[in-house]
Amino acid sequence: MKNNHVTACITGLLLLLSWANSLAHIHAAPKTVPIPITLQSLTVTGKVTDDMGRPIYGAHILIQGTQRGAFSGPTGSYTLEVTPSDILECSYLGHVTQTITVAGRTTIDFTLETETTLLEGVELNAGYYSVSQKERTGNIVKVNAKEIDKQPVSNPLATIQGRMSGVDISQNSGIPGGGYIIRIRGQNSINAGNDPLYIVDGVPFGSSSLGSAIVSGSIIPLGNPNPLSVLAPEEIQSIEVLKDADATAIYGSRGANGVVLITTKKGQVGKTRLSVDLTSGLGHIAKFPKLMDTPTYLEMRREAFTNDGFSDYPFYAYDINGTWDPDKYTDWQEELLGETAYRHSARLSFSGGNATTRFRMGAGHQQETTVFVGDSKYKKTDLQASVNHRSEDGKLGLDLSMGYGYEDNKLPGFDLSGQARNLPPNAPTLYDAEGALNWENGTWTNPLSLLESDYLSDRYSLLANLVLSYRPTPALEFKTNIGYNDMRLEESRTSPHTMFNPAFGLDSRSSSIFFNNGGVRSWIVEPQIGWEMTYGNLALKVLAGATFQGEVTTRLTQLGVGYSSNALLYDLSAASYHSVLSDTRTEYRYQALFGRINLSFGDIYHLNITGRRDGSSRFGPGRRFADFWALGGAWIFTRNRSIGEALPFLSFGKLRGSYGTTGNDQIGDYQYLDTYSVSGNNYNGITGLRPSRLFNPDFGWEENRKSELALELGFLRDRIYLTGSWYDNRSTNQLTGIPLPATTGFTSIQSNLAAKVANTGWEFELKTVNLDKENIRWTTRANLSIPNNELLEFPGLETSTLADTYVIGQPLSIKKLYHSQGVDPQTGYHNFLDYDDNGIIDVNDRQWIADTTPAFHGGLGNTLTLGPWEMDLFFQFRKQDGFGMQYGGIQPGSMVNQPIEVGDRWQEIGSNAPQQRYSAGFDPNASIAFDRYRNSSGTFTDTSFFRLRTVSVSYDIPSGSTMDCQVYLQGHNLWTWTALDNGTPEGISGFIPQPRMLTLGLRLGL
Amino acid sequence: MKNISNDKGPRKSGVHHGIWAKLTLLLIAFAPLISCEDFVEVDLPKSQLTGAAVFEDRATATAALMDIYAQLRDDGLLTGGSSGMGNLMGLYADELDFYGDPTQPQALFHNHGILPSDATVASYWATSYNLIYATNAFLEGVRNSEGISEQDGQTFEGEGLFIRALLHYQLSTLFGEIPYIRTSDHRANAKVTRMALSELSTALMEDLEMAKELLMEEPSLERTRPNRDAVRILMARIHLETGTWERIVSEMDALLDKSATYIWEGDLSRVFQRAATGTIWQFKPRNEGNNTLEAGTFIFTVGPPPASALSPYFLESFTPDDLRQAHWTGTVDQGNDSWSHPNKYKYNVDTGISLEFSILMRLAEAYLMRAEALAQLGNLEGALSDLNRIRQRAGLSNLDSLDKDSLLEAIWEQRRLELFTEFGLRWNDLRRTGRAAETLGPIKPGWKDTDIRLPIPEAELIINPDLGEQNPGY
Repeated sequence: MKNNHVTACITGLLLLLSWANSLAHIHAAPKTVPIPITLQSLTVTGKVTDDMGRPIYGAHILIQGTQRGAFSGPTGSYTLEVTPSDILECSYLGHVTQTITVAGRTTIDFTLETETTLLEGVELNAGYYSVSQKERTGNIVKVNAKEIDKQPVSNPLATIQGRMSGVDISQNSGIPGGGYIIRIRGQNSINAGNDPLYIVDGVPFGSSSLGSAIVSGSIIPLGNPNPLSVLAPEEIQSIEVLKDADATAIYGSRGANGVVLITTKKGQVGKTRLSVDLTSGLGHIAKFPKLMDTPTYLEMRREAFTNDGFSDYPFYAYDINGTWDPDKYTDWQEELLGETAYRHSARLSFSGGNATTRFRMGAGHQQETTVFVGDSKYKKTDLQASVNHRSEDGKLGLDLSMGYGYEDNKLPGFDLSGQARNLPPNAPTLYDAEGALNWENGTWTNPLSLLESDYLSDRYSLLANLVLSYRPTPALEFKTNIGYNDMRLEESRTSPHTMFNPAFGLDSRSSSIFFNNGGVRSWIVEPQIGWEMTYGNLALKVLAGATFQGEVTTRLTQLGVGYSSNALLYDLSAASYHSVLSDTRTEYRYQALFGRINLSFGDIYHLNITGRRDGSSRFGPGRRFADFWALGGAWIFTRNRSIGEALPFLSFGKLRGSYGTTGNDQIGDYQYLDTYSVSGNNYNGITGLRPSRLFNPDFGWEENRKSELALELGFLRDRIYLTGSWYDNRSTNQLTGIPLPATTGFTSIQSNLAAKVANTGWEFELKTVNLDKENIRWTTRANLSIPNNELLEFPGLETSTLADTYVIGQPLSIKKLYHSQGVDPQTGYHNFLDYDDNGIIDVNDRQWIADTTPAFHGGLGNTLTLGPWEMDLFFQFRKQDGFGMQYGGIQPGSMVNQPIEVGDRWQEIGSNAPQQRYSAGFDPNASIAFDRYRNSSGTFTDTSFFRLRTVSVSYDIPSGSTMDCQVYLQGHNLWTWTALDNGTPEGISGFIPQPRMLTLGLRLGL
Repeated sequence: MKNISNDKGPRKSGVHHGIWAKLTLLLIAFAPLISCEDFVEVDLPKSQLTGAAVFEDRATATAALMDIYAQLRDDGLLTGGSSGMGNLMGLYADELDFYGDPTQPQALFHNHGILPSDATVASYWATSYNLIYATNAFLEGVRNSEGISEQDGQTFEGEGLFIRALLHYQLSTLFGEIPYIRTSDHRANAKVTRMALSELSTALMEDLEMAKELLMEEPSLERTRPNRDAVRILMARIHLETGTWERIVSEMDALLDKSATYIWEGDLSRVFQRAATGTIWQFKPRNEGNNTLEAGTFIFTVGPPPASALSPYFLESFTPDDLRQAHWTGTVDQGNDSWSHPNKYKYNVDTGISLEFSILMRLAEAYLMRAEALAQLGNLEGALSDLNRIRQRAGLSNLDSLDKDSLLEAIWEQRRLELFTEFGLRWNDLRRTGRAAETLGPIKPGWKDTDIRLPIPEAELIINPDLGEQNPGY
């Protein structure tokens, strides 16, 4: 024991000494080398360029051992008074520092090479400023164009799925234009408001879909098509995700759930290039759950009626009473969802530039069909243009980028997954002999009748951003960022009378159509001042700015009913009556002041202070303003000579940490007001007014406190680069919709929740260069996230409406379930644990806690370059528990097909089986037991998976010097291993999973 | 608002002296933009009004009330749509059979397979209490208003009280003991308990007595809003539950004495027309030209029926000379098969001008309620006279000299044949007279005696434990 203490003391002392020593070294340096300004002084001039020959503006040329130096001008030139023996050090962010001895010369040119360590994308975009990967104090992760271009996907969010630690993305449907759920470092809030802030080229991009659930809810989960799908991944240069307080606090109230920064491609200095990219691909659903075949199904049905005490079958049991053919078998999943989806795309880009002006234009078109039977089609067209200009003297700058996107989506009005899963395998044929929809005398609802309904959506998005800057001296910059975003969504869903059973005797007078037109226009103006200063080893960067943002959201939802012909369905004026269901216009105003002070000392110690004062119109008067701040620090200890020498195996070592606050105002507009809204409903010729919500005038800002500690280590000249971080985010006073009993008239009220929630976790990222020879290069990148979510405190939980939802010490994502005890061999019914031992199973026995938070998730990628060949394999994995196929299922024995494992059921007294006795719904004990079972631990299972998410092989065809030509093959979701016995581990029940996709492409560059 | 340079500006003495001057100038230039809270002040959206403003004006207050009627008509318990009590409780009782997709929620009502987690049951509960909230908010708004005239205020308040009582009464016929909600305060309403049935009927009567005072004797235009007589019908329905027979007689006497207002329609084919003279309260369809939701729910033209059809068990109860079978039911024949549907309302398509409204309360029920009350009180002659009025119109011969029990049986049978598929009145009769088990047990394989009540939605019991125990059997 004693020895241990002594050792610890000595170690501590040594550490302290080395720290002091390093400090002394830095401070002492200027003193020990005095600067004799001798008569021999001469003037050196020269030019600083990068490895491409472009001039570097603002590079710092320092006389080693002094504090004197100069900055390069806009043309890269500099002038400096030196002595012949001086050593000049030229440095510029993201470039390797070059040292040249003057040796009596008067012209010295520097050519700075781009830092080519593994830290791809050395420069990280932090939103209002950029920071080098090595010097960053905050947690920022990045995926660049190289990785994005290898994936045959159409939504930018899909390109980062599994590739970033701490970023958990899942797609809730496989249809084009479908929605995504993205969670950065876990779920902070319970109901709404977990979306990160999206910023595209400096302009906030509304994450609200503008969709209306009444129009699109039956085909797109939650009626929430993801608006980012309008951006083409091929036009994206990089996607950065800001995670910790240091990186997000400058976004203040909007940073609580993280920030996703998307930067589009810009022109490059050099010759004008034309590039053409053509792809063609096909996809289908990788794997369907295994369902019963006809004999097994019919056996189940007959046994169910026998169990229920029927000797003959009722008139509506068409599947077994002889109405339908008992020998027929249709694999409905294959029949309805088994089509091949085709995807074609063409893209053209044109770019170039010289020292003062760069430009780029890109345009693309993409077409995609779905796996649904029928003629659905998704089309996307986009155009991107950017111009970047610096005046000759480098003082004035102009950066303009514009993007226009158009999506045209034609889908069936309903996802057929539910029908495919549920239809009895001996259900009738889809078409009759004449080729018309077969209703089999009205004994079934033909699933194709749902295809009579069309969902059409058009989405337009215009995004423009202009940055004007003025740099009177290299150290000072005035800048204004002006952005505009205009997004419109026009969607409609038809319900022609042909959808309905002809027995109703309907005609087109019953046909109807829903229209929803939504629009959001937002603008942003952000004047900023940046100032940099170097004083010896001390570098100071200051940024101050303000944000003014306005957003107007409009929505018009209409219904037209009764047409003289279905051909006129889309013409509202032809409807015999037309009604406006909702016509709203909401406004959001936001203003802020923000600032950053960054101090670095000898490139060893970095301190970053950020702050923001926010005001938002979403809060009531007196509660509109709030302050957010963060403090981040980094210590690159390998640059301390003594430590660097003591740890020779480390090529880079950094310890960083941050602490700060962020907020969340994703609560919708006007929630604090007691208002009545126009309901769109009509009585006695008067349009109704309805209370808009349960209002709460008292809610205010929620607060999130984030802390982080991280260690970054580089080995073997950074060929192995490892980052490990630990974070702890605590949110208090959470703004959330608190659920209410229906007796209050509403299901929830927006309120500050008196609870404290912690999101903690570990994140690791590893990048290695395993091989780097002339013709062969093999790199690996991996990430792993281990999230943990916990409800720490909740005063009054027992008496609140959330008493049954949450448990102190458990994550927010729990569900309380019945605890399944297997099937009683005597009765044949599912048994459950009677927690309160009162002999009755009721809601109080829902005490088994199911936690759906993943234990860990991550990705593993390998890239192998072999001469002209490049191969990339990317795996995604996730260890989690989730719900199996019977969660929320329908009782076995009903007129609904079942997963094959249901065949293993109780049949007679004494038999042991995992599934209870079949019942056609006439045995209340069976129904009630099954109702509990589908909400019980019995349906909760391991749904972990390991998926080969992307495979990409490309080959550069050797050609003449002026043209490059590349062919490539890309696969998506090619192979999945899952712990789940039957079914798919991702997605929402009732909607199709992500298809397996194979794409062939050709890229030509001139 | 504070100037940011106070805490953020570096105080380094300068490499660039002129810069501070420029910086200060720039900040001054921004100052007008950032120095006020006005920027984050936004206008109300054009489709919203503040709660106070709504009740300062007769027109907007009326709009708030009309929305409640529109929702009653389109959604929840009293809608004529397929999710309303007319269809679902018709299936639950013995009036209708379900031929549609057996996995649909309606099938569960038909074969008594309802579980505590049933979505339709949960939606009955939620839509009703949502409307009760709207009604309470309306009542509070009207009472606090200074811009509404006293007379308008009285009508508004009367209608609000009537709707609140109506919704609570309908819920109690399905769920038994339920919370009675009198305020819009969500804090109080989140912790409510269920009220004993006797207490509940007292509370309902208090509301209705007040409503009767406040409402007019004359019917509203086209009888689309309740008047004093609608209150009387509802009171009589509640008194049938509690057996307060004298009160039924007095309320119905008051109503039936207004023979100039409510004229007995002798022609069966005109009873459900828009301008039927025996109507006390009816829902106006959404738009002129629309007809009733009931017609859309029940009518079919080809067999087998796509959803609900009248059960053979019910159809057999019509005697051959009963004209109501011909006038009020429709038949589809196909080969050897034949199915019937309720056909009280004839138009399931638009007609330019609406021909039928959905009738909630009509004269026949008033006579039948009085007949039952008189019979219970021993006034068999009076009861017979009311009963024979119904029989005569249906083409049936008059009954005379029955004993009390047979007379009650005869009245209940006429209620069944006269009021079929109207808002679950049949189920209500079976329940309140204690005949549900003996009637439905033999014909419904799924019948259990505890089916007399629907389950309280499970999620509600979880979120508000003060609601107490689940109804027995679930």
